Amino acid sequence: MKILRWNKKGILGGLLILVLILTLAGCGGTGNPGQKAGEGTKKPEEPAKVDFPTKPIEMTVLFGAGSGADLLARKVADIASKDLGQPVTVVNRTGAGGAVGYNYVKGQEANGYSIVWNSNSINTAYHAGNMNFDYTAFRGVVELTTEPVSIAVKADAPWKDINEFIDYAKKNPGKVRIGNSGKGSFTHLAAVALENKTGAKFTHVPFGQGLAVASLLGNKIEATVQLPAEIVAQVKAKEVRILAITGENRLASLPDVPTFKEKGVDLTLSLWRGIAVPKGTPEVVIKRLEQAFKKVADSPDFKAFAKEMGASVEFRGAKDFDQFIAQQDKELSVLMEQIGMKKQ
Amino acid sequence: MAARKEKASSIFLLLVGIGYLLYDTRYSLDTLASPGPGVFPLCVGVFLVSLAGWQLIQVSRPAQSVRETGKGRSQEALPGQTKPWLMVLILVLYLLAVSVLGFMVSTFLLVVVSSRLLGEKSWNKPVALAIVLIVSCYYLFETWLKVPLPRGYLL
Amino acid sequence: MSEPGILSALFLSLAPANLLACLIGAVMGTLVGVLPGLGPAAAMALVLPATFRLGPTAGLIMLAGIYYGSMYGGSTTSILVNVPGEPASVVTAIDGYQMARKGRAGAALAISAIGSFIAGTITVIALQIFAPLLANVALAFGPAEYFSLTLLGLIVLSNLTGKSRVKSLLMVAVGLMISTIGMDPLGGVGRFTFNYTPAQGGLSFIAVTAGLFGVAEVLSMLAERETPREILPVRWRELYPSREEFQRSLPPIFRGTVVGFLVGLIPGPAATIASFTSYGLERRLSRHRDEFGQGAIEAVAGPESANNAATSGGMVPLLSLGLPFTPATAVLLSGMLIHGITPGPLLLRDHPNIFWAVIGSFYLGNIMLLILNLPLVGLFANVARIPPRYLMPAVLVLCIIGAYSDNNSLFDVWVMLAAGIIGYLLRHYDYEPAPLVLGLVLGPVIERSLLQALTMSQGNIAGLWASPISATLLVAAAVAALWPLFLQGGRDLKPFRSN
Repeated sequence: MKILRWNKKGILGGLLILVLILTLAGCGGTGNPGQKAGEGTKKPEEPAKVDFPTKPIEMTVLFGAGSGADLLARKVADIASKDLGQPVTVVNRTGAGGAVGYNYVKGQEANGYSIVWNSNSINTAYHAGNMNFDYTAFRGVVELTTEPVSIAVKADAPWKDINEFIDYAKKNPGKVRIGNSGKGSFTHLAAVALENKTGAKFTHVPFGQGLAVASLLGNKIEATVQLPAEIVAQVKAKEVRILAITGENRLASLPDVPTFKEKGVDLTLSLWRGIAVPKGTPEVVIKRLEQAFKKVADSPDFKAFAKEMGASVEFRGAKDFDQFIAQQDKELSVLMEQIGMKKQ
Repeated sequence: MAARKEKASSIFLLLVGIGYLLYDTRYSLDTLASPGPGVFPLCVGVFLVSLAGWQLIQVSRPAQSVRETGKGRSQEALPGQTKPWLMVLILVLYLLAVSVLGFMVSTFLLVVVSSRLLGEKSWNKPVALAIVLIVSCYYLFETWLKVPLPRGYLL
Repeated sequence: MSEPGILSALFLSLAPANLLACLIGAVMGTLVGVLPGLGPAAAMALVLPATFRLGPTAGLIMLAGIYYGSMYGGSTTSILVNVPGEPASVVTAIDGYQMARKGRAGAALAISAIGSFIAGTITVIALQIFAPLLANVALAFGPAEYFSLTLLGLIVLSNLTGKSRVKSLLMVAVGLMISTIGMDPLGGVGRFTFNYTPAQGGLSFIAVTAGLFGVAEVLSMLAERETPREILPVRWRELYPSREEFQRSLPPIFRGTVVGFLVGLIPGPAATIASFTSYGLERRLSRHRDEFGQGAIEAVAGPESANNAATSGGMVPLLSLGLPFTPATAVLLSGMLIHGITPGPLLLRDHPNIFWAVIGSFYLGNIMLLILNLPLVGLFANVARIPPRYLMPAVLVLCIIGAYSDNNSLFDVWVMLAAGIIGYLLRHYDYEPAPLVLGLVLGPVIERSLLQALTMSQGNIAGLWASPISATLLVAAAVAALWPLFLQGGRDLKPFRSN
């Protein structure tokens, strides 16, 4: 009996301490435990016009923590949350070239609290047959960045420039194994487009996080097609050389790397990124989000960061962005058709 | 008893494996140079079916079956008992309730009911436990770690 | 290694701000490790924005603190309530929980904290000395080598508790099968989802383990006829390991450290593989082999040291090559890039202060975690003595939140419930859940590397054993698979026992 009582006290005491610690830890947060967040929080500093946001916004990122998409998204979220007055939390929902995350956000309530850090993947994931809805299930809020795709080889690879590399791949079809970031991904698409434009023939090897670069360094593959952000560390360490990028212009962070255009290959492809919300989100909410993310695009902090990540800032507002996505969808669909990757 | 259990589980796993392989037929195998999504599941399915088949053959031999007696935990967990299945039913109801009543109310009920099922005689202690649990979960997850807890239609 | 100012840079980690960052990181990591559902990667991502304001050194120290703190905490729920906080602690649950049921929870917890500390400290020294040298080990492993290694792992590690080899392999197969649910790992097709959208992302690992271990435990407890035995309170001194327990634990701790560090160098779920390997190794070496599965202290000491060592091992490719092989190191990489620090060979040259401060914080963090964890042992050990009628409802809530918070989806909680029923039935039919977990963890890795290797060799199967490393590993796998058949050959047929 006595034992039992001691036990009970012990438990209650322990739990009490736990609650106490947690209460202290949670001090900064919103008050009442019994209340649902959102009901109880008031925001006196905002005028009554748009009562948004009154609770944290969740931003779904379609690619893994530490990926180029993820790094940019976290910076964007950090800057935007200052203007919005509510935290923007990043959640990685990865898989199937973005389809898993799109699926998730599409299924959320269209109230602006669930946004997605989107990209061309909205087009490619649909046409590759990974999901049964296309870009029209979303409304664009802003476009923020654009990134080229880079073709990289080991620093001691025999090819001096991209032209030699392409020649070699033409003469030895299939000999060049080129690692991309997944079947049907944008990088895969870029490599196939390069084959298309030049008549070279590669063996495409789909990889995941970090492993394509490791395989390149370990001489398991001859080249990678990657976003510059994922390989910039190895480039700086002079272990890897980027032969060319698919951008319209050279990158500020890699001024020595030529574009394909300069090298006489007619290949320009860019990966844009921005914010989208499920269709049916109220216009005022989109306006408010647009305004907050416009500030991100304008901030020198973000510009510097994007440069570091091998991206450039490219801003489009909600209207333009929607049109832009629609136009991109047509272009990518044609491209995917050409290379036999289009399933729908 | 033990042999019957072995036999039943082997047959069950065999059926699972066959069903899995049948489902796998809808995915393409493509070529070895560019293997399709059906390849790996095919290997796994064949692996499972052959192992289950092997075990079934082994336990079906009369000489063998006598020796293989399941020792240890098997006696303590009899699936014929009602209490575990009652708990399963409670959890099913809980999951249905969460999408209506939200995390707080449903979890409160779950804690109180499951505590009673586990042999608690009084009401006030499980109620106190439930409140403490819910409050600490709220602070820990929602407030501090910013992990949202399930919401329902009503709450 | 003889840069000037190493010591002063190491002392940099003692600056109050850094010390505080380390403490917060360690506490948060422990907490995250204790709670199932939230992994270190998620928690690190959570504080990543805060590191913008903290500055690079303090920010990285805090991230690193979470990273290794989570490995300390991971064992707690495994031992106390049979709910592994993360994949790397699954094997700890096997014997750790049995120890707790015998009233030795305190000893198990203390040994895992001490083991983690020893492993952490030794491997940081190894990291400091060998990092550039060992970096190339990771590069020797391409898809073919990785496929062979994983295959070997599946065969050798499946038979963890040494009961029935066929049954263990069956469970591995079921685990592999579950791992194929959802999108295939190279992107493309959603499989075995019955066109149900939430299943497209695959079954949550946390949900499956919370079900197989935690919920199944609750169900089994309900099935026990007599009211569950209550563990008698023990005196304070008996909370901690006895001299004998301590002596038995030391060799496994050192072996686990070596195994964990080496496995950690290789991409993939290294910490999990390391802990399984250590368990298998200890069972084969131990003089108390019959105690394994019933609460052997070695089976806690080895794996817990191994998974901690693996987290240091994983830092090698990150720091010396700039390559993250796990989600958690990827976030650490993000943390560096965000501050304009490029990890890789140039890290030491360009940012020696940060490099040494982070290394310094590793030493410091390990000491902090030990100091933090040992007194908690007494508190936590009390949890094991809470009567089941109060403890089990709390375990259920813990499992539910863990499963839910992995993807914020109720589907995962349903998965957890289903896994709970399966886990309960598995016990009844004498199957072990641990090999299933192994299959589940290694499934995507083995599939991905197999398909990549085939693509790279353009469909030539010989490409799988083209390199010496890969060939050696495959031969080892074949020997491991066929060995029991040889042994059995002369004797009376005894197919269900491996030894």
